[in-house]
Amino acid sequence: MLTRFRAVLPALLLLILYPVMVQSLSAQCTQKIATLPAAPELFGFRLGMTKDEIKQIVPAAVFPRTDHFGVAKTTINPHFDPKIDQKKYEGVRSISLDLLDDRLVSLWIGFDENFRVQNIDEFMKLISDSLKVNGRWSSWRSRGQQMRCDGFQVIVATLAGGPSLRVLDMSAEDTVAARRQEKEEQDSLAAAATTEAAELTPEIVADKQTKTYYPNGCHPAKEIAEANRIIFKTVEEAEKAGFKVAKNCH
Amino acid sequence: MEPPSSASDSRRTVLVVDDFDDTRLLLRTWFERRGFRVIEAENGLQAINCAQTESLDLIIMDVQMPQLDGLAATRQIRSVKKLGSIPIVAVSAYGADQFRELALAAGCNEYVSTPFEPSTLEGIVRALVQ
Repeated sequence: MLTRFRAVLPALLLLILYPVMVQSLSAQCTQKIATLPAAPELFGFRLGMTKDEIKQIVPAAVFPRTDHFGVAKTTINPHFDPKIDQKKYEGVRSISLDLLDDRLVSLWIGFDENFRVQNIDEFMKLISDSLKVNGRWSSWRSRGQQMRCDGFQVIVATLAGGPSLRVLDMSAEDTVAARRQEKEEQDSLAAAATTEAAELTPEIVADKQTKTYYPNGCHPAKEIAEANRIIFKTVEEAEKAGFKVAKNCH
Repeated sequence: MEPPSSASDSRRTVLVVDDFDDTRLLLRTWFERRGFRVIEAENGLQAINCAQTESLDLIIMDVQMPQLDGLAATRQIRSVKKLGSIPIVAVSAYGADQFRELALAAGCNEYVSTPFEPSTLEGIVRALVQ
């Protein structure tokens, strides 16, 4: 009996797990950055576009210098910036664009309370349909929903009374993290080298009372009293201050 | 707070809003070195008052302050049409990941989390005050 059960066990497991596997596979978002449609909710922005291409859409956009890691961020504020055409961005409060190496890698759009969809579930459906992202939404930092697709992530949340949308190139995050780590390692190595150099440089101990100094590890025969003790970084510095090398140190 | 600038003062004016004296002093020094005229406010209410009475080119707004916090003050400033175009940079110790979107939604142009590198602030100021 037990032997027969063992023989059918794999088939039984497959039967039980099959629906779960099918559901899991169907929950994967297979959309790619390159094939993301030009949805009206993206206002002409798309991941990968250059700074010049952004300037064509928003001539008033101003980009700060890129930071150590190649990142530059800018915001467009149709709500209060008179240089931005409000009609073109109806229902939008602000747009934030993150560029890495002059390419758009993160697009955030904060919609206002006049945007046609306010309910977050309806907004998720709208975005799913518009961007043709077919995966399953999951909780994001307890204040929104996210969907991971092929190379990018979509995040929706309610913020300041309106829905918001972020479309993010996930490889860019990895690139910035790697550059940050590399810089930290370089800074750490540089700091260690400085400390080592300082430790290797011998200090010149001198006696203010006798006006003598003791170079290159040469020590006074008698301990110099703390009140008379002075340290110079170099022999030249000691000589300049009027100190003479101790006789026993020649 | 400082008296209004004279008509002959052609410097750009920045309003530094922070409840900590030392932070205001630090920012004052930083901006004055770059040729700005600096006005200070200790909370959001003072900031709104300054924004209405002064001709400002930039506001550096701390987020957590007594009486009226920086985001609430920003929302009020943005609700006044003639003040709408003043660039506002929010500053706080909250991580940018969590807070930037909130600051932008309140009407800030940019967000800087402290401690920040001087070059970061420099880049933002250059982009906003041209």
